[in-house]
Amino acid sequence: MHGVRGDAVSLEVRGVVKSYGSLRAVDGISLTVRAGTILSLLGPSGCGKTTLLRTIAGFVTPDAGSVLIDGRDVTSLPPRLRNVGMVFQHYALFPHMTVEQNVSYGLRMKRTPPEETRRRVTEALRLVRLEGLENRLPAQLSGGQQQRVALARALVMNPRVLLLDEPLGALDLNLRRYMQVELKQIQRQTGVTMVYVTHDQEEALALSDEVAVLNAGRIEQLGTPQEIYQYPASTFVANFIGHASVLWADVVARGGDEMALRLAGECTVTVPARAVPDFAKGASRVPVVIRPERVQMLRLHPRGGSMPRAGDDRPGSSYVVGSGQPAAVVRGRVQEGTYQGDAYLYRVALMDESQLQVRVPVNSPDLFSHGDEVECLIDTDGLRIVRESEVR
Amino acid sequence: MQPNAVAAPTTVKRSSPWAPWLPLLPALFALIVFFVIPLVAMVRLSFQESTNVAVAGGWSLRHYVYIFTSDLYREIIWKSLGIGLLTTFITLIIGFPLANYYVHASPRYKGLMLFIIIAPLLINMVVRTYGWQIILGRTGFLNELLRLLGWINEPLALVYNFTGVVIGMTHVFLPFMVLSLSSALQSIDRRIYEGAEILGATDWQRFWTITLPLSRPGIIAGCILVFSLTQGAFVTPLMLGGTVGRTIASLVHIDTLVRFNWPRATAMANVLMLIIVAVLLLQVRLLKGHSSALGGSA
Repeated sequence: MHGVRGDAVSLEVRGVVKSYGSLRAVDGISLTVRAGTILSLLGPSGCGKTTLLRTIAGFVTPDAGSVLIDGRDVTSLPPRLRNVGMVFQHYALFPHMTVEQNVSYGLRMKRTPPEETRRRVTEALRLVRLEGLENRLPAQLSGGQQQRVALARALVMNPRVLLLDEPLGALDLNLRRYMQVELKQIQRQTGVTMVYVTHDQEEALALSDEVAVLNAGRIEQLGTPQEIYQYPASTFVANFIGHASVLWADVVARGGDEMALRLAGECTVTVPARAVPDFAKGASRVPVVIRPERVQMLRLHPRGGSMPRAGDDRPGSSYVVGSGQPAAVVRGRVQEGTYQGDAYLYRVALMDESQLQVRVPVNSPDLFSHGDEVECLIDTDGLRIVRESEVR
Repeated sequence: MQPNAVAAPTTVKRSSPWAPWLPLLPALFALIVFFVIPLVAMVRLSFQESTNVAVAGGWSLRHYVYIFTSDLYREIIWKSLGIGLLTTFITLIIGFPLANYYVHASPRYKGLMLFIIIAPLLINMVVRTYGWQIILGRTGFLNELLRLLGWINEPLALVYNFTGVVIGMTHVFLPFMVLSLSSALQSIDRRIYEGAEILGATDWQRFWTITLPLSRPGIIAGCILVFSLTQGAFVTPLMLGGTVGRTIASLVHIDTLVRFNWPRATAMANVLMLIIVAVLLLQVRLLKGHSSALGGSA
C-alpha cells in the first residue's frame, strides 16, 4: 500500500460550513492533514465532528467551503469517486455477506480481476489478523472481529484517506485499548492517512499525531497531543482533555516582560510576557488553567491541632515545589477526594469559592479528608493563561 | 368460610402449570367454534353426494374428480393462479419503488404518504369496484382519454375480462405489498447503504447487492400475502371479470349461491385452501433459509 509520512498534504478542509436549520453544525472549519499521519477530531457529542467527517466522505454537502484530497477539489464528487475509505461507528458490515464477501465488495464493484481481488483480500485479512474466518457471517463474529472486518474492507481499496467514525465506541474498555495499539500498528504498516473521530480524549492522545479539539462547530485548538495537554488554548480544551482547574486571576501589574496575576484573591504570581497570549495582553481578568499534578498540598493544621485564627496569614512566596520552581500558595478546604487507583484527586474550595483540583499519589505520606484545611502549592511553571470558551 | 380460605392456596398451586394458558380459553373457544368445526364440516360435505339442488346421502370423490377433469374448472384454476401471479408481480414492481421512497421520505411527508398508500383500503369494496367499471368501461374515462389523445381508435377491452380483474386486484392489494416491503426496507441501516457507496458501488449496483437481498423477507412476505389475498377474493372477479375473468373463489360463490351445489363448492374451496396452505409452507421454507443465512440475527 502507499502513502509515506512526510510534508505532503493528503487532505485539506477549507472554511467548511454546514447548517441544519438554525444550528451551525460546522461553523467554518479549516485544517490540513499531512500524508501518513493520524488526525483526531475530538469533542463532545454535537460539536460537529461527525458532520465534518461525513462532509469529507461526501455524504454531507457543505453550505460553504471545500474539501481537497491530494490537492484535488472533491467537494462536488460523490463518495464513491473520492477514493476515501470509511469505518463506521457500528461497522455497517453487510449482514448477508461473509467476511470474504464483505472485504472483496469494493473490488468486485470496481470489477477488479478475480485473481487480484483474491490476492488483495488475503493481504487485507492478514493485516487485520482475520485469516481463517473468511466464510463467517458478521453475526458470527465478536465485536472486535467485526471491527477488523470493517477496517479490512476499507483498507483493501487503498484509500488516500481513511475516515474512522468512533470505530472503537462499541467495544469494552480493555478491547478498546488493545485495538488502539493495533490500529496504530496497522496505520504504520500501511502508511494510510487517517482522520479519526472520537469523544474519548485518552484515545485521541494515545493515537494521534495531531488532535483537533472541536466545540460548537469550531476548532478550539489544533496541535500535537502534547501541545493540547500541556498548553491548552482555552478553558474548553483544558476541561475536556484530562483534569484541570480553571481559576480567574486579576491582572494586578503589567510590565515590559512580565505580568503579575493575583490568584484566588490571596497570592500574586508573575508570568513572563512570552507566556501571555495576545488576547490577554489588555485584559484585567484572565482564566488560568492548572493541572492537578502541578499542585502539592500541605495540611495547614495537623490533625488535633488548633483551628485557624482570623488574620492568620503567612507569606507564600518562600515556598518551593518539587520541580524547583517557585510556588504560588493558596489556602482552602478539602471538599472531597476521588480514588483513581494510583492517586487521589481532591477538590479543594479556595477562599474566593473557586475550586482547585489536586492530585496526590496514593503512596504519599499525607492523605486528606473532607473539611481539612490545606495550603496548595501551585507550580507557577504549570500555569497557563487561556481564552475563555464560548458555551453553546 | 375458614376451610375454604385454607384450601384456596393449595388449589391455586395445583392448577399453576395451566394458569398461563387460562386467558387463552376465549380465543381457543372462538377458534374451535368458528374455524375448526366449520372446516371439518366443509371437508365432510365435499365428500358427499349431491343432486342438482340438494345434498344427497352417500360418500363420493365425484366432486374432486369433476374439478380436476372438467375443462372449465381446470381452466379456471389455472386462470386463478395466473391472475394471482400476475397481480403479485405487478404489485411488487409498483410497490418496491413506492416502499423505498416511503421509507426514506422525510418524517413530515411520511404520514401523508402512508395515508395515500392505504387509501384503497378505506373505500368500500363495492363502491371501489363500481368505480373501476366506470373508469375501465368501453366508453369509460380511460378509453375516452386514450381516444382523445389519438392513441387508439377502437376502445380497449379493459374490463369484464382477465385484465379488469388484475387491475382491480392490483389496486386493492398494493397497500399490503407496500407495507410488507416497507417494514423490511425500514430495518436496513442507512450506514449499510453508505458503506456500499463509499466502497464504490453505483446506485444500480447498490440496489442489486444490498437493497434487494436485504429486503428479501419483505419481498417474500408481501408476495405470499398478496397472492393469498388474490386467491380468496371473489367480489373483484365477479364485478370486473365478466364471464371470462372468473377465479376459483368466484366459482365457489356461484356454486354456492347460484347453483346450490354445496358439496362441489366446498370441494373447490378445499382445493383453494390447499393451494394457499402450500404457498404459506413455501414462505416458511424461504424465510427459514434467509434467517439462518444471517446467523439468526435478522
